[in-house]
Amino acid sequence: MRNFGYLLREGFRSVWKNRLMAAASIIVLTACILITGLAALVFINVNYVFEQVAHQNVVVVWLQRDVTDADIEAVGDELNAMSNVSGVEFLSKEEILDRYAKEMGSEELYEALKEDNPMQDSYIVTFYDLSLFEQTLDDIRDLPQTESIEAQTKLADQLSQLRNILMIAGAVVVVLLVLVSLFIISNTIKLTVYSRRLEIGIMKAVGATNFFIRTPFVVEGAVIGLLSALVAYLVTWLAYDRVMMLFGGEVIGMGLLSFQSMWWIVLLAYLAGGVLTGMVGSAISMGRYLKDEGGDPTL
Amino acid sequence: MIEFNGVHKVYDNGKKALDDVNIRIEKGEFVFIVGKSGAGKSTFLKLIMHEESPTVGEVIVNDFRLSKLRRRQEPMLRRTMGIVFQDFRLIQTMNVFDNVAFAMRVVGAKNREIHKRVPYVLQLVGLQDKMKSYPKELSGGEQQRVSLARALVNNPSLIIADEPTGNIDPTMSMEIMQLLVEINRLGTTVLVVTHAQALVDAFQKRTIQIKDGRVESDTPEGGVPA
Ligand SMILES: Nc1ncnc2c1ncn2[C@@H]1O[C@H](COP(=O)(O)OP(=O)(O)OP(=O)(O)O)[C@@H](O)[C@H]1O
Ligand SMILES: [Mg+2]
Repeated sequence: MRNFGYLLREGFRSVWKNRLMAAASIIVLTACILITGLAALVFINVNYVFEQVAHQNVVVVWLQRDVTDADIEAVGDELNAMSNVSGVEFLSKEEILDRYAKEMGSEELYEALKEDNPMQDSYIVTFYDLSLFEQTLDDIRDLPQTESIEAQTKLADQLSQLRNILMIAGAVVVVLLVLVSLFIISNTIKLTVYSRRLEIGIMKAVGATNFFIRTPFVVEGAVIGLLSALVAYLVTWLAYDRVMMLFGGEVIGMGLLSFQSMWWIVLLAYLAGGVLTGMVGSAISMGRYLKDEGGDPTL
Repeated sequence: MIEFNGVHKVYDNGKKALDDVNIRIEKGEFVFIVGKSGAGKSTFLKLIMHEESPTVGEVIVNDFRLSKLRRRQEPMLRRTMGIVFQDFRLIQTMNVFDNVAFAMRVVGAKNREIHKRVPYVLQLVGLQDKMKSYPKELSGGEQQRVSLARALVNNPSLIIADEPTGNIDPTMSMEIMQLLVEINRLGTTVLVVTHAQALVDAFQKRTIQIKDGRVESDTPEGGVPA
């Protein structure tokens, strides 16, 4: 591609020549990338906190007082067989009483209550997916040998809801913003196409291929996307660190992701998103123009 | 070589611009196309350039059968012809050299070729001293010579000019026409639409007269029969 240098230069030249329009679309596109990016980062962090809560969220399943050893084993098997259960640990009433007595610092207590143990056998259960929390609890409750369940359902529930809302709202917002970006870019390019229609007409007249005519405009779109992505990245970086400082790096006792741990993912995603949007936007308006004008060299 | 076989052209608005045109123009000919305003002269050229398609009939240009021309072949057809416009169509922000070089760049010529070919062509049209000038610093005749150089630079086998002298004064017009004749003498087929009867009379070249979309007369030795 010996002319690629020429086409690239033309693309950059065009951005500079139409710098006011370019600046306007860079601002809009930057805003779009920023909103999308920040929404994604919030979502990623909520998810991260959610995972931590999930791992810490321990449910205690108390068994009936009159369970036999066979019953205990059966419950254990049933729990292990549940697909959402990640960990099952048995805690016998003797162990519980023993721990309790040790905590109280009196061996006598253990001896005194051993014969008529007021404690209950129990299972400590952890889950994979907190969004299925309630469902799994119901399944456990349905086991005949369980008496009651002790769980911090509230937090898991709220987090799970927040995650769902964020996911849906985020998807809607992102789709809207992508459409807005494409619209803005294709209109900017339409203007530069319009201001260069004489050149395009001459190019068609002397036999330039559509590829050759289109490329500088696609480059122009890509440059706009690239610059927007870089600006958005810097703003994201600053904003993210500022917010992290505000929160002290954690919410509800759970750690948040540091920008350092994902800066290159953010940068790559921004660049890919910006450049792609820019190129697609200009390809749209170029395609329409070349089709409408039908290769008319005299316009 | 250009061939029109039973060509009719009716525009979308129902206007009939060409009516059963049958014409053959051989390689190396020089042809004037004359006729009143609205007769269909520009339509005739647009069919050759594949800017419009005939409603009925076949147009063949430089071995391209235009009814069978694929979109991606259009640039290849255009590279066989050089087009000169009445209003010059020069890019105001480029100097003379770049305006001509532009036509080579967009068809993928190497820099080395461009720097060899452009000065040569500019010398051919007598503008070797104006390479660094901008269009607005040139007279109409000079601007048309730049446009002619641009049409020539890719070495087309056919030059198409729609009223090339329509916007310039008579003496300059004569020079432009002499240039076209000179280019023709070097082997390029030349097609010129013009209203200037004096020029047609002066050069004694094949003249096709179009009237209401039909070929009214076609005289090999020039002039229009009374
Ligand atoms: N794109 C178009 N759509 C509809 N009608 C058209 C179109 N182009 C030309 N015409 C009509 O077709 C007829 C022939 O037009 P054409 O441009 O070929 O004439 P011409 O001989 O070049 O005239 P002039 O000497 O004024 O340039 C005219 O009546 C014109 O109005
Ligand atoms: Mg005309």
